Amino acid sequence: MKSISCKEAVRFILVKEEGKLSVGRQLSLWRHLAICSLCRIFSLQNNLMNEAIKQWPAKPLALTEIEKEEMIRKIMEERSR
Amino acid sequence: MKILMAHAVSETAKEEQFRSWVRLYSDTLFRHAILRGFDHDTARDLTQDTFISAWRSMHNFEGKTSVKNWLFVILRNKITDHYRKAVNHSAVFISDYDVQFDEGGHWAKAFYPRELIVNPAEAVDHAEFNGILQRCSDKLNQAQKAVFFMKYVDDLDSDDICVQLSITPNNYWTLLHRAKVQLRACLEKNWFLIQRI
Repeated sequence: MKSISCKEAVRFILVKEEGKLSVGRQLSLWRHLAICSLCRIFSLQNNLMNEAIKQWPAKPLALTEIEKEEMIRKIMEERSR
Repeated sequence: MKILMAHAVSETAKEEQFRSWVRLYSDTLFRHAILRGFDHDTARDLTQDTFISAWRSMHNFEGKTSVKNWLFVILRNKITDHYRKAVNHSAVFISDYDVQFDEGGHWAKAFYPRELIVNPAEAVDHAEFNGILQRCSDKLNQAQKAVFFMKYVDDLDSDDICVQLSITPNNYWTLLHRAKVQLRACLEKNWFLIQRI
């Protein structure tokens, strides 16, 4: 079986996330991860990022009252165009 | 004359209606845009454009869905247009990412991923961690942002994203790959190292 590079391994990790990695490639990835601690770290941190993204937003977001009034003004202006 | 007056009255009513919609829904629409990777000003402009389009197509709105849903459909179309333009106009294949691997595809020494020394369960709930991740995602280029946010925030499948952005699967995976590798490096610089000290 052809061995893969770290660059390929990273791509395989992302494709696998979507359940679109072929069985052959899964095996290649598995073999690569068994010997490459750097890609294992990437894989763990990738999972961490994915989990964290689910928690967004970190802060409440809103427009200011002034921005809203300005927005209304612009919308009213636009209608005549 | 009567017709003119009736017209004037309905215009005022329409205007009032519209003002109340802006007050009711602008924050929700704005937040939606912010979470798709747009900065404050762009998110505000997208929200404003949504209302302008809504105003122009108000006669088409038949009340079959809620006002909120109708506005969201308009906003989503605007966001997709924005993403598509970004992907078509940006230099998709030039980025810092390529220096992170050597010619043989092995991690370049300066970019070796470092050990994870945070407890993942804690980091995820950590406001500072989330803040850093968001700031790091601001640094992605527009095309990377487009695929990244469509995938992780909108939870879309790669096939849908390719269709919506008119890109090939190969472009898609390249963009996503670059986004993730850059994001990880940025996180490491700003968070993983803090935890080491």
